[in-house]
Amino acid sequence: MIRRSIPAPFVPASTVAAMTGVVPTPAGFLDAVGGLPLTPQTALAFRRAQELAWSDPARLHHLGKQAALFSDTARASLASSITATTGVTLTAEQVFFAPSAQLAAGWAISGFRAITSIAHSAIETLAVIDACTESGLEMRALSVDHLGHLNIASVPGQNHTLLVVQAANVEIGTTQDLRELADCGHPILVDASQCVGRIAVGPHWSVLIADARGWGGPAGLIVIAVNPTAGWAPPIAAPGGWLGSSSNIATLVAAATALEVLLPDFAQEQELALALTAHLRSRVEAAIPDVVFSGDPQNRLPHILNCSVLYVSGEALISDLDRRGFAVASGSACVADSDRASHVLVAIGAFTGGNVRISLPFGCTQETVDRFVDALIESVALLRIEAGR
Amino acid sequence: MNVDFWLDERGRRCPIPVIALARSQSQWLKDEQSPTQVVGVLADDPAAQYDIPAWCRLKGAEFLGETTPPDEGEGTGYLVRFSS
Repeated sequence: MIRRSIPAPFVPASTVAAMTGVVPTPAGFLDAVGGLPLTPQTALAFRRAQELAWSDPARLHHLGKQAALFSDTARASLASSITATTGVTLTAEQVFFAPSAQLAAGWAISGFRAITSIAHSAIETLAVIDACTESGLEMRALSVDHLGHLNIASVPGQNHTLLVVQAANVEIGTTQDLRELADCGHPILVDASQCVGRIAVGPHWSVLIADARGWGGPAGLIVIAVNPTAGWAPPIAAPGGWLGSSSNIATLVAAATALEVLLPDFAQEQELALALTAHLRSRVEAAIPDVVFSGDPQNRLPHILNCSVLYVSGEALISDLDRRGFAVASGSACVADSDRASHVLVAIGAFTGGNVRISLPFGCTQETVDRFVDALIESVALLRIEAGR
Repeated sequence: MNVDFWLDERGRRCPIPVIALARSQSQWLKDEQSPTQVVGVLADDPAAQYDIPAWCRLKGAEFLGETTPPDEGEGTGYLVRFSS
C-alpha cells in the first residue's frame, strides 16, 4: 500500500496572528508614520469584509450587491468621519479612493480642470512632488522658513494656480496655517496624511488627500475628499468612488472602521500625545548635549518629534536603538535608500546627520517614552565614544 | 582666502568630518592665540554640504562657502571661520 506521510500542518505566523485576532503594537515601536498594526475592531472588519465582500461590486447578482453594500457603507462612514474632523459637510459621493499617494495626488491635481500651474511647498512628500511633476503643468516650489512654515509672500498671484500643501509635515510635525493660505484665493490641494485622526484639520481646503495608515488603517488606501465648493470632478471613471476601478473593499472597510473607532477619543489622545512628546523633548534636551530639535515646537502634530544628534551617525543610531528594542525613523543620508538626506531637513536648513524621527503610535504610554529616552541616552554616549567625540 | 589649515576628511563619512571640525574649534578656543582662524574642511561625504553650514549656525562659527580642494583632487573644500 502506498502510504503518504502527512507532515504536521504548517501554519505561517501571519495566519496565526489573523486567527488569534491582533498583533499588538510592539512596545518599543515609535515609528507610527511607517505604519501601524490593525486594532482588534479594524482587523475584524477587514476579515469580515474579505469573507463577505470579495465579489465585484459592479455585478448585478446578490454577491456583487453584497460587496457594493460594504463598499458604499464604508464610503459613507469615511464621508461622515472627514466631515467630523474638518467641518466640511460631505456626502459619500464626495469621497474617492486611490491605491497610492502618488496616484491620489496625480488624480486630485488633474480633477481641477481650470488650473494652468501648480505651486507646492518645498517640503511636500516626494510622492506628491512627483505627481506635480508628472502633471506636466508649470510648477513652482515655495520656500519654507527654518520651522517649516510656508512663506505666504512667496505664493504666486497669478490666476488658475493650484496650491499643493501638507496640513502638517510628516517628518518634522509643523502644521501650516491653511486659513491664511486660503485667503490667497487659490484652490488648495491639502495632503492631510498623519493629520486626520490626530488633529482637527479645519475647512480650508478644496480637495484633501489622506493616507489611511495615518489613523491606523491598512496600507494601500488613500482617501480623496472633495469640498463641494471646489469645482473638481474625477478625471477618470470612478465607480463607487474607486478611481481607476481598483476596488479593494476589505482595505476600505478596515480604513473606515479604524477612523470611526478612533474619532470619539481623538481629542483626549491628541492631548496625551502632545504631553508625551513635550516630555520626551524636555528629557532629551536636559540629558543629551548637542541635540537639535526641528520643526515648530508649538504649531505641530501631537505625535511627531524630529531631532538631530550631533557627532553620531544616523545609521548607527537607528541600528543601536533597534537592538535596544526601539524602532524609529531617520532622515539622514546614510539611512535613506537614495543616500540623500531628507529634502525636508535640507529645505529648513536643519542638521541632517544623526537624525531621528519619533512618531508615537496611538495609545503610547509614558513608560515607553521614558524607556526610550533612557536607551537614547546610553546609545548616544556609546556611539560618541566610538566616533572619538 | 587665507586658510590657516586644512582638515582632510575625504573618504570619511558622517559624522567624522563634523567631529574633526568641532575638535579644531575646541582646540582654537583652548589655545587663545589668535582672535580668528579660518579652517578648510575637505570632504566627499554628501552630507557635508548641509551639515557643515548647519553646524556653523549651531556653534557660532561662520560658514564662508565652498571651494575646490587645494590639491585639485576629489571632494569639496568647506571654509569655516572661528572668531571671538
